[in-house]
Amino acid sequence: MFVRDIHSLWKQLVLCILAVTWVIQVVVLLFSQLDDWREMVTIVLDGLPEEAIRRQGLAELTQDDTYDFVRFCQDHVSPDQDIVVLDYAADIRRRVVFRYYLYPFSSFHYVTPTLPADALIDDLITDRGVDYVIVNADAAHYPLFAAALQADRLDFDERRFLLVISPPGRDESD
Amino acid sequence: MTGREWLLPLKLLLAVLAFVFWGWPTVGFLFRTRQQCPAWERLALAYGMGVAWLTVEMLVVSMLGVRLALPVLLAPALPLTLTFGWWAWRNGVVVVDWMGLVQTPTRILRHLRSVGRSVRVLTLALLGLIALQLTFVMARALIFPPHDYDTYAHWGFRASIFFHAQRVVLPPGIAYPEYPLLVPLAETWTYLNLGHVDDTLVQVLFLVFGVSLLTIFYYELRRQRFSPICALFFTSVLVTAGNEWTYHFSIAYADLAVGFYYGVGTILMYQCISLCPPKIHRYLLASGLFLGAAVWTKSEALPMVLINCAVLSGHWTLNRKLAVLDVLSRLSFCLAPILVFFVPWLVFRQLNTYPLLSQHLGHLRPDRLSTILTSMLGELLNYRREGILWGLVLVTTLLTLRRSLTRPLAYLLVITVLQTALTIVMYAAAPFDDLPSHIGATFHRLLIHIIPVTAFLVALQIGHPAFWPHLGALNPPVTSRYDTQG
Repeated sequence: MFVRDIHSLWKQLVLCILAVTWVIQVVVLLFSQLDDWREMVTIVLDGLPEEAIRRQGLAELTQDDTYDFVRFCQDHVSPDQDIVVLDYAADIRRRVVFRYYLYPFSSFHYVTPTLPADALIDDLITDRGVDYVIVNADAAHYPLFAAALQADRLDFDERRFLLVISPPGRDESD
Repeated sequence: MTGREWLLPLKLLLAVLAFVFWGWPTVGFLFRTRQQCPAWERLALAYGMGVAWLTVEMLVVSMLGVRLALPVLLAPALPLTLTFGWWAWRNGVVVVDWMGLVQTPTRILRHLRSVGRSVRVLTLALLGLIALQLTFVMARALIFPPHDYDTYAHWGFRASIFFHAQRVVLPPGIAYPEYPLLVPLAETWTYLNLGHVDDTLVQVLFLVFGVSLLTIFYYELRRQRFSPICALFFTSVLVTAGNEWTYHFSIAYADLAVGFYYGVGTILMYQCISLCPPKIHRYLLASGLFLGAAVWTKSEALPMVLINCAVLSGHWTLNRKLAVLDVLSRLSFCLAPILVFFVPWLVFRQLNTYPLLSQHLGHLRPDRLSTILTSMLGELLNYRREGILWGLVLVTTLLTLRRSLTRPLAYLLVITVLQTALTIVMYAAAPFDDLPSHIGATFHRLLIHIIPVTAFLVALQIGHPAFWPHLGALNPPVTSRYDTQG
């Protein structure tokens, strides 16, 4: 009887410890959610547009302003145009974000380039007649496009060395 | 918000209700009376089942060369529903327990009035905690657009492709084409209802998965004769099982869906073992359907499900002393529904010459065992992210060792241990050199697959009324409300 009581007492003690530990964990969990609550309340009260929240979230994921480049590309091209994306970006996260947002274009050719940049651009624009070539490149790849830049064939966002290449003889506003 | 945008929540609701609508006949066929399955659990099971059926239908329709569009996908529903409705009416089968859905809040209020003050306060506190967590994840799902890697790389990207192409097609060079498609197709269905890609709103699907899981978890504990307060307590333990777990209620990843399907399938399987209902084949079918849906959600679920089948066969062979043929015939009730979900996907993979084996598997390298164990332990000890569930299961197993090693609880423990061993083997065969960073990136998601089962194990270990008789008013022995006699 005594042994059974001691055993029961011991079990109750462990149960109490577990219950207290769980309560502490719940408190820690709730406190760790405070920042998110604060952020969400701010977003709702300030009426922050979804695009700003999206930009901020992507900046955390890619550690750069990939979303701005995505928007830049989306503003320059329309779904009925023939678009080729040359993907030079070394960062896999930037590549997948870029691909995700630019997907819905009607004729989307996603290639990983093997030819030298200038020759590839000539091939695509002059010979194949595509409307736009979008280059997703890191700064390290910038020299590859030096010749095209000198020939004023490129529009680009200088901050990130991310380029949208206009076809010859066409205005950007087209 | 423009006039058209006001319609979005309604369209989203219709998309979710369509899943429920698709799942109801199956659940009605398996659980035919109100006693077998309470109204809200019926609703939760129907949602999960509907997602699985509808996504398989989308794959099959696309393989037949038909464009994915709402009328095409809804067309088979009408004759099926009418036939099932007629059959249910003729046989007095409950399909939708409308009265039960309406009466549940009244029953809760009546129950709260009938219990003592301390139990009432505790019940309200637990309900408040669950409501707070669900409000938090709902707000996060609706406010924050996705910014997680796998959404862009896999699940969300595939859904976007299917929606724009209006068929199930993967562009050449896409990473991991062998990934199952339940989640992307469920998202595609939602986009078809919304009329455009909305990767923020679609996150609500996963919140519904989470809420459904909590509902089923609660009612399955009640089926194990837990008192309402005790079942509610362990449901709150589940909903607060770490930041990572809660986070997945609000993002469009496949892991919570696997946790849902595998958890529900395993819990139903355990009910077959522990409650031994005479018409066991219906429970086995239900379990098999949910386990099959888990395989249709993520490749990792296939070996997990095979472990379950092995444990079930072991139970029938060693414990029930059934003949091999009997074991096989019973097992077929569990395996056949798994194949229903697995075969269309297998055919699709064969037609497109996608790899049959996961690309995450290479040669087995046992020499990396210590690295794996150290890294896994490091992740498990991440208190803020993983919570105390893993420490809890260790302590409760030691505390209830004799009972945990006795049937039927031993089966659940064996499944949990074997799933952990499977994770170790998978890491030992992972074709990655930097294993610690791979484990750091994936282990917390693998844990999500088994959190519901582990929480159920903990609940059965320390929450069962027979184990804590001195708790008295808090956990009185309850006569089962459910007719498990078929």
